[in-house]
Amino acid sequence: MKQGVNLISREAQKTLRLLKIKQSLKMTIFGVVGVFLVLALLVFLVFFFFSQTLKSNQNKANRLKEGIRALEKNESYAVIIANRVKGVSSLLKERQSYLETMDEIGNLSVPGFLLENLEIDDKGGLKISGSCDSRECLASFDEKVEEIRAKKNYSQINYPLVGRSIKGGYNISLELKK
Amino acid sequence: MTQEQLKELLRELAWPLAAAGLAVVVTLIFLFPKIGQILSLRTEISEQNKEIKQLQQKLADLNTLSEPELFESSSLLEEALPGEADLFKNMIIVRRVFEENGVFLDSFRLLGGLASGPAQGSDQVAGLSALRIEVAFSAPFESFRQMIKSMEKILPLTTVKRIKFGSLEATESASLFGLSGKVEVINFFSPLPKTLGKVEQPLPKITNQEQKLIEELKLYTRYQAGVSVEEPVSSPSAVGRDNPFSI
Repeated sequence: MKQGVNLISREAQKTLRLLKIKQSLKMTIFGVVGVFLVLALLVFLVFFFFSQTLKSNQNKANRLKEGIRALEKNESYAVIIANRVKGVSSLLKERQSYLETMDEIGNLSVPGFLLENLEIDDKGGLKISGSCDSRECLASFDEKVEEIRAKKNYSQINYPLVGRSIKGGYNISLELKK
Repeated sequence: MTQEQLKELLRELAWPLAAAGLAVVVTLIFLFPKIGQILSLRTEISEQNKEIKQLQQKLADLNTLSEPELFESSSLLEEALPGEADLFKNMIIVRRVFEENGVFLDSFRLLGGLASGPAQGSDQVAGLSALRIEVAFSAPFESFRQMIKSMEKILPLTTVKRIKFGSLEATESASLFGLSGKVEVINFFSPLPKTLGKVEQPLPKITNQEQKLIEELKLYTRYQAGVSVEEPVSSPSAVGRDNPFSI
């Protein structure tokens, strides 16, 4: 069996190993520096790109704002319209209509009935007092009240007073509450 | 490895090591803050993009609006709900409506001064300020009824409250003919907005229902210092977009 003989001296072998280590260390360091340089360049490029985008966006926003300011008159009208329309719509929603109440008062006017006092409160409730000259008048007045009751527009309908008057007629007091 | 060899190795690696050290130092003091700046720039740009989108939308909305139409609507609404109380003007309008319907105005009295600010008590509606006038009147029942009907369809918007009949004169045919009493007439006002707000704020929009309301108001009788300035128009002619603010 043949035996290999290393002709390179031990000293030379050491030197060679050292050279290899040096080379690989150098390569690693340069590699790291290279990666850093690429990374730094990339960071600068991204930073530059973002700065430019920011500037151009700022210019764009300024141009748009100028355009909006040029139409400020239209905007002020739109703001007034939106502000007023909300007030008007809530006002109309809560406004009490007295037309129906007036119609009901008209309907209560039966022959022989004399209206002496009438009050309409802010909710549309009614307080009526008057007199009827006969029992027929009283009956037809009550019929009209029943017609109102049937419509269910009032939560409560009371006769606080129904009595005979000295003249021979009937005194009536009626309350219709909303 | 001998000491001499080690020295030689370090001498040869001095420059590369210095470069690597410099890279680390520069990274620490320069590159990291730059990366932080990039991140904040990114956030800023995304906010800017959002703002630009809003501005573009607002500009597009504003461009579609017709100035004459807006002027007409805002004038109408300001007539419906004025920015300031005007007792003189309101009195003339009330007298005019009474006269037009055959109701005789005996006297009037201002109630509670000029209320302002948010709603207080039951006389103010929907946070609006009220100008309350008590009017003494005399009229036939039908005229009074007609006056109430007219009051519900006039600009500025008016409310009638607390009707109290003091004396009622009956006739042979119907006992409700002659009425006299007091009625409370309320006009509303609300201060106009003073500023437009930030330019980035979106354009205020009104709903279709509110647009319908504006169309309805066009049918109301408009008064200026007591003189009816415009007869109700049966069918308002639409110009431009149907509803410039509709959502």
